[in-house]
Amino acid sequence: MTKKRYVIVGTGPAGVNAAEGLRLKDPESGIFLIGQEPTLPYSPTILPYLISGKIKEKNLFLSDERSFKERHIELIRGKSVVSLSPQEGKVFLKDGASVAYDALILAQGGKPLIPSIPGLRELNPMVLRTLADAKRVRSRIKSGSQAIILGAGLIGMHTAQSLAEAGLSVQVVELMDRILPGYFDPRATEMIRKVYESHRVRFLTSAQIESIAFRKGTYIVSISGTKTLEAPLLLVATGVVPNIEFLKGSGIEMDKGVLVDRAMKTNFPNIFAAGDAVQMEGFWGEGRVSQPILIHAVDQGRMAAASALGEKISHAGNISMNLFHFFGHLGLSIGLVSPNGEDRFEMHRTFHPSKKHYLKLVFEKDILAGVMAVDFPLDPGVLLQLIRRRIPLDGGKKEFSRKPLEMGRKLMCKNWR
Amino acid sequence: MSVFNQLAIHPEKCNNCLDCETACARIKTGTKNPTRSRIRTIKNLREPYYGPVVCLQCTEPDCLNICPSGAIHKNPETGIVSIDEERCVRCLLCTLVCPYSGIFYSAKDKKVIKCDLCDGDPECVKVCEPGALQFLKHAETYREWASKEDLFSPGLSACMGCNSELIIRFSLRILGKNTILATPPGCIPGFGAVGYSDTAGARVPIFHPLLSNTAAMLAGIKRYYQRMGREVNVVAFAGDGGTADVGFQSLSGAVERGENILYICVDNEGYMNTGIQRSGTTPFGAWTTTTPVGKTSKGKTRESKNLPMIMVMHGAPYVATASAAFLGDYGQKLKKAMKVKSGVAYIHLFSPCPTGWRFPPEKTIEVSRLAVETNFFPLWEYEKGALRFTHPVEHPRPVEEYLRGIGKYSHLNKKQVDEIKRISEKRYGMLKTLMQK
Repeated sequence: MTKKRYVIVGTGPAGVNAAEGLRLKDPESGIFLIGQEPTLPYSPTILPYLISGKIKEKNLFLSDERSFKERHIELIRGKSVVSLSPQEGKVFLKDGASVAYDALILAQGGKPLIPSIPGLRELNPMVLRTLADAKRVRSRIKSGSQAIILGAGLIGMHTAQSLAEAGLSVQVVELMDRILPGYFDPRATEMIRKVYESHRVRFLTSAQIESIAFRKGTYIVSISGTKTLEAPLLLVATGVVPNIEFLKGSGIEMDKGVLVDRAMKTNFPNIFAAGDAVQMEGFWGEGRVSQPILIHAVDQGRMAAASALGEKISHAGNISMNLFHFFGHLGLSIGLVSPNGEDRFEMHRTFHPSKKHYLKLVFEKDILAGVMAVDFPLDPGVLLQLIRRRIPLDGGKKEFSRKPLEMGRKLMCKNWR
Repeated sequence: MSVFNQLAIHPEKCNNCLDCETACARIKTGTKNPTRSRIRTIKNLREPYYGPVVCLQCTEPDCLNICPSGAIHKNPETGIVSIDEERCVRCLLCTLVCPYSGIFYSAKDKKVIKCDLCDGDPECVKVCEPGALQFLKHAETYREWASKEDLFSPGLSACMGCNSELIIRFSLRILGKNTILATPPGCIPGFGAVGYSDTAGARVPIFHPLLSNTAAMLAGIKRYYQRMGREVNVVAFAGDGGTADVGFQSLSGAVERGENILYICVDNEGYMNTGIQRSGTTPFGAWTTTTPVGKTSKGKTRESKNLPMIMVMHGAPYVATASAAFLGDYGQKLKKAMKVKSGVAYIHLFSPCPTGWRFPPEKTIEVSRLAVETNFFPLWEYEKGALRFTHPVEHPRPVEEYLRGIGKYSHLNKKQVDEIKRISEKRYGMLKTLMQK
């Protein structure tokens, strides 16, 4: 194998997994992992747990210095990449230095989306994307105090739980008509909401924010209608957008994020991309979408590495999914959970008000296409594989709907174990 | 990449008795609560059962890659994937990426739990009455093998899929440098094993006797070294022709005289490197170029010479059958054979030949394994006057499963298949009878 120079931009989970994937198959080549973070690599997913104190800062990092050294992965920390020249085969750093590559993997991730609410940007509001952000939030929390979170997506919900566990009263404000839109249906969100409310988290949905101001240590959030919310802590968690400014003018094809094909390749043959920065094909042919979640980042990082090594790969497309552990309860959402108005899909619901669990299964003919559940005993990983592998349901939908745990395990044993 | 000991699941033997769950819950939590067991059966199931579900200790575990707190590790020595409870934040993303239902949240324990193979001594295996769970320690054989010097140079030119290269490299690693090898005419010298330097052939003295005198030459060499006061392993790697046919008188004489040599017959059931002619060990019904298949001729009409059994009757102190599909078993036998001081130690190695038997080269080990699992070629050893099976197959697969994939048997009619069955059963029955005290 000829020695190459692999350069990876970004030290998040996508970047780290790309580096590990390269090293696994290519013991010789140079691997350079460049990130703007001054710390060792960590996963942003962990940050809410740092706020609640569930994890200590020393335990936060994915690997230690020695482990990178042993695998000869050169970690270049605290350096921002400011531009890219595919013609020269180089990336340029903020300090003027440049790094040459034979193959490049773009895994620079995303950044928080700050909604255009009058007054918000000027306030430099708190977000939760980096370790520095998490420390900033942590330094402001006081037990018995109040907090407002904008956005009831996964980051907002995780953070709401962390703040509640740290002893704060939390108010979550969501523009849409329900929490966790996209992942759960109204019945499921109602169940999740009730659990949160029993832990001093309140929700305001369908809320149009008119303006946000900061006076005498208090944020004042004015909402259409009459309501005004006040709290000494405000956190914006309205989503993540791909971080692509530095690629402008490089010739890399972009839309909302870096556009890649099924081989995780950009429009340049030796430039690949993975993680939150990417926009790629969805599993059901819904076009190129951006889904900034950890599972995709890890998976795409490994795939991009394989592709950069010259392996023939074809990504099946991202399946929307999440698994959500809140206050001892479990929410699960995989695949098409609320396909709208199409005759192609058939739905089965199991709801036990007494047992307080809920399951919704979506079938496309004889194949599982989506699962949504709250506190229902399931093997999430098995269901994901049933969807991804498009395995026909043995014995039919009826039996599967009745015993999804047992039937899932049986199909796993028969098909891929 | 390392190899590790592993938990194997044999679903066909599982009777869903739930003992594994109970044992796991007991040893891990001191309770009988099956929801706290790391191994879980599939409940409410009618036959067939699929065996319990449990962590497979993946080589590249998805749970490890996804873990946002770096709490999951794979031990580089044992291969066991474990969770650092202090780091785990219970986000449970590991349960979403595990395709095998091997890692999950226990509400009772308030933590994520998974199988840790009881640190190399799994409790579930001990209680599994029907043998559906087995702890495979083959990794130990491979690790031992890999830690020793390869005494053959690279670039041996055997046919694609031939297992002889694997066999001689494996054997020499166990035999060690204090060895003299004889390879009479056959495939092994044919693919470049003869030659003594660091760049060609073997890195131990190796010579090429006549087809007819291998055992006699080795006996002379052994005696000479004994006379000089040196103990060396004197070993033959001979084909079936050099053992059962042309070389037989010499071998028979050596056994009768009690010569202290180690004789390994690599049996590919014919003269494969000279044009696939029949030999004494070619089985009944098999096609070769001298037992052709046509209008009247339908392959070999005689049954094969049962050479290992002849060696037992001949009075050799150690006799064994072996197969590349069961290298651990072969390795143990080779070590025993090396220690024999009272006469000829004889090992009969089953060696499927993709070129001469007409099957795809990637199927060699599968064919070897099927020969054992159908009792076509049982694995046994004879030492200190006693015979025993080293890999007993109580419920053999039908012999058709073995014959099906092999071209030299593709013409067989039902009568011939029945005859092969009869011969296999007769030989197996004879072994059983001889084992009764």
